[in-house]
Amino acid sequence: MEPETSTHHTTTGLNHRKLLMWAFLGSDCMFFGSLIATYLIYQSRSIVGPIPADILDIPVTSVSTFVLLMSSFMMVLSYNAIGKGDMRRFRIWVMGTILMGCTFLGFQVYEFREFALHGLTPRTNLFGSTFFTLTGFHGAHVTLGVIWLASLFWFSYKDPETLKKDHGLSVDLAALYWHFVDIVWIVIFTVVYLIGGV
Amino acid sequence: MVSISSVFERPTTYKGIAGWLVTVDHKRIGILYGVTAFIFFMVGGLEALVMRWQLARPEMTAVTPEVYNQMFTMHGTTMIFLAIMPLGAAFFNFIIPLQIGARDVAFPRLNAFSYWTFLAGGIFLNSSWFLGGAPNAGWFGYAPQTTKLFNLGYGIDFWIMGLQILGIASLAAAFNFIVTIVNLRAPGMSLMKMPVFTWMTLLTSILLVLAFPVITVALILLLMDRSYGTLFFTTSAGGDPILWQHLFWVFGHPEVYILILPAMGIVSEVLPTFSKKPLFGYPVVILSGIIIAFLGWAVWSHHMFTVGLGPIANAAFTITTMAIAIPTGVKIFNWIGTMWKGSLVLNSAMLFSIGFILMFIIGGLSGVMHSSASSDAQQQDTYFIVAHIHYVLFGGSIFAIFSGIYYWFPKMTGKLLSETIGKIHFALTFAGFNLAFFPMHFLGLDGMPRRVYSYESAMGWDLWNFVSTLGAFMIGVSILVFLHNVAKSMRKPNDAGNDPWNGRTLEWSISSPPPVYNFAHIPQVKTLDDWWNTKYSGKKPLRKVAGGSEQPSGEAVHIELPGLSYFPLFASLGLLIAAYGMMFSLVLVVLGMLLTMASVYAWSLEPAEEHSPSDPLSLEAKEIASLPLDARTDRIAELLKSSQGRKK
Amino acid sequence: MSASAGPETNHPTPLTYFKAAMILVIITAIEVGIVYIAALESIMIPLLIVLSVIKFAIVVLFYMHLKFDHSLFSWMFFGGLTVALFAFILVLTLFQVFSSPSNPEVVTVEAKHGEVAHEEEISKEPSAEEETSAEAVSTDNQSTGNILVAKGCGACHAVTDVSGATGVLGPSLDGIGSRASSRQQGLSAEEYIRESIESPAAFVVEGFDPIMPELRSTLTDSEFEQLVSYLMSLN
Repeated sequence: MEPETSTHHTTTGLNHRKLLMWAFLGSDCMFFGSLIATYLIYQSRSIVGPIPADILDIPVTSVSTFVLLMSSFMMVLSYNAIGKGDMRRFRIWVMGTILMGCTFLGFQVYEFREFALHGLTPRTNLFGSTFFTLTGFHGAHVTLGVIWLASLFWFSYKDPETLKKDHGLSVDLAALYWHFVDIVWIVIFTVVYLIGGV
Repeated sequence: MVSISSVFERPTTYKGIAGWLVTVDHKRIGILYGVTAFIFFMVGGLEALVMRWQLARPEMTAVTPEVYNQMFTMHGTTMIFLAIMPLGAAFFNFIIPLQIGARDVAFPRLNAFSYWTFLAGGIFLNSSWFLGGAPNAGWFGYAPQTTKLFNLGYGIDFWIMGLQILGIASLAAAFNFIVTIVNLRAPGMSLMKMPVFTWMTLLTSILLVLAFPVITVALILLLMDRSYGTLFFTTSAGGDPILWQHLFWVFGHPEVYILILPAMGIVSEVLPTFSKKPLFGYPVVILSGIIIAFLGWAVWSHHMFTVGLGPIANAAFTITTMAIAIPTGVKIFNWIGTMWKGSLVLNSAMLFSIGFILMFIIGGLSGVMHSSASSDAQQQDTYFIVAHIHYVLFGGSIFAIFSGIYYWFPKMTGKLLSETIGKIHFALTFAGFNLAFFPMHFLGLDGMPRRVYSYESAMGWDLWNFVSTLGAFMIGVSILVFLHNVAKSMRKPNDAGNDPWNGRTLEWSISSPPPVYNFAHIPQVKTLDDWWNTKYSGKKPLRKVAGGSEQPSGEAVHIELPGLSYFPLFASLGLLIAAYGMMFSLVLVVLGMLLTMASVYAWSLEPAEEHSPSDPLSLEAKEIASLPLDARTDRIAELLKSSQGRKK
Repeated sequence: MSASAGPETNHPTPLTYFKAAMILVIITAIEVGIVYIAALESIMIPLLIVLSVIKFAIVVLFYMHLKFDHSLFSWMFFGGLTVALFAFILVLTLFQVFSSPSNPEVVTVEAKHGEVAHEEEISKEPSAEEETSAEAVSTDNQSTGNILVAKGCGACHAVTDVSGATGVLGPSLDGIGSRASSRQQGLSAEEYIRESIESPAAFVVEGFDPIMPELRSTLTDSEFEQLVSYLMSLN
């Protein structure tokens, strides 16, 4: 007789929550797909300036892109640490990820402010409307990720054993989300800044 | 751990209203979905009757044009998002775990959250009637007609936020069912041994999680235009009205399949049962469903044939649209093949399913007519389209849903619906439906535009409009007959037994209504239509027991049930408050979001055990599990009797 | 498939993660570099797309460890991604995003009446705009019709022969060349058209709202002349 517990007894042997996470990420592709498509459709249709080439600052955004990429690197290290049960390293790396995420958001706030000072707001033209909406919703995803990681950080003091369960599944899920936000940025950086910005 | 769980005790009551508020039981949530959606279905029906009254004679003034606009907008929105989708969800909830041999869905609390959020969205949307006027721009809310420039007032904002809330509910439910079906099937139930209804639910859920993000974005853009002055649909700034149409229909066409695939699943369960034959060509039916789900992404522009996309685009979308008729036609032949030479039992459920096939063929044929861009140019925005959408969504989805109600009502309640009244209900619905909607084909080809408030007698539309109105009221009467049937059945003692239809799938192997834990022992599935084959394989002696499930082996079981929770309800409540805040006050937005966030935190910090030891019902389940096999069934019957006593 | 055979057994080591991070940084640096190298301008877009796809793949396969995980996860994610790519590339194609490059100086000319595969680009360098645009006026009426679309007129005004001009917010421009002279006392057809573009509110056609924006400032002088003479030619 084997006790059936719903966490370990599933048809595919996979964890429910992890399946949910991947289904969500597949679905979120459609969300960002819609936003990016809207951006591309409108990118050369603004009737008044400024247009992307006038205002996008590729060097500054390259730095913030670097920061986000590095945060993904730290995230994967913290996942690696929790998988080994190393709480100390986990906390270090997850805190690093949080700080990097906040830095990225800081860059975004700076960028939005700069643009506003140069006369680009969501109400200025179609470029402004689409740009702020697209990057704003990406920023909202990053913010949510930061809150999620901060909750895990707090929880690692409250109840480390639960966090370690299933090879750090809770951390794995947050990490998947974080990396997804990172790859969305990879696309936005290329499409909006590099291709559209010159 | 101890400190956290003492803060967040999980509720334990199954009794009274409180028991329903904290429930995470998929069967109860299914019933909540069904009852709520049926109420919204009747609200939407009343709106339709007001419109038909207004159109009964030329130049009527029963309502003002402004109210009329609100009526048709709310009728469409209600029927699609608040009636047909959640009625489908009611069956998903109640039936899917039973069909796949599971004790509940994968995420019971998320499931409760889906329901409460759906309810919140429905209340929010309908409260617009009393808070400054309902939305009035049609159910697809074309921008820029819906922008502030052309549409002041709160109506459209209610529409936007209402659909966003309903979107959250639908997405949560769809994720849940994808994981449930992928991950909670009974041992041995491979994909190709899954019941068709489960398959169609899976496909519907996949379509849902991919389609809803698109409408979410479209609504966000519109909301930002209205509230923050962005320019997405401001034509004077270069905004493109066609963008809204594309985003809406990229969502909107898969949405059509979200509405019809569950119906196809229901019919594919009912027909084999009452033809006493297996479904003809099971793999082909599944494959057709998959093809429909995929092709559904390549046809949306057929809603836009007249906007001037150019001949190449129109031709391409004509071809893809016509192509989708192929898998649909294949399914129809499968259903006919299922009935062919079967010993048909023509009861209410079967009649509605046959009605579905007939009506869906008519709807499908008019669909093929306007799949041709040139032919559509004449039919676009006329009553011909109104006729088509009703043949597909009423003659299709609603007929199938009624079929499903007659089929599964005994499983849900333990009581059979009256066949006599059921057949009267069917006859009235069938006659009323065709009287109401068939003349619309003539009206449309005669040039009557959809959504007109009134018409002149000289147009020559008097007769068919009057006939149509008669039919609509006949449908109204048929709903009353149905309600009478339900009320009558609910008053009588349980008479259904476990398997009143000699069913084929696992839900018929357990008692009606099923015990809270569904299966005392998780079944081992060996074949498609496993329950049928178990019954007729002749290998095992069948022990008919009252109120207990078949026990193929003597293993002891350990039953775990999901713990109850307050927080799904609170999380949904927060969303509702925040949505009202979007209209009236920023403070409410903050409060609502805080409530939702706090609930989500509390939710994730609740004790993780699947059930708390003080939970009386799981105690019962444990007790049952500890009994020897022979004694179990008696004990279950006893418990069931007392639980029915509790309900009274 | 047993639950215990978890994915973590063959997960990469921190060293692999570090290498992946380095590759990501280097590719990003290359990408930014490419943008500033004039010689690569013609192949810049495909190059950038390829590089970002590589970055995307590295993060998904290694950091999100899809490469080492159950294939069902890959199906779920790449399924969603495929549908998204399919649907939105189709949408972008319908909006002709790929056929008209973002460079605003280039106007794509589409063949009349849907003859496919006949697309030519009339490049109008700002420096030499006088000659080229004059040429465009004289050679091909349809190409100026496209100004109507490129400058956004078509969103509100319709012209039967121009596929992108189908708007209904403003009056149809069919036959404007012959109608214009009768609109306002004392204004010739050409003067009326000029006035209508330069100060849209001066005369509003009956039955339409005074919502036309001032768009003259978005046109160069030659574009303006081109547009006026095109409108004059619509009989």
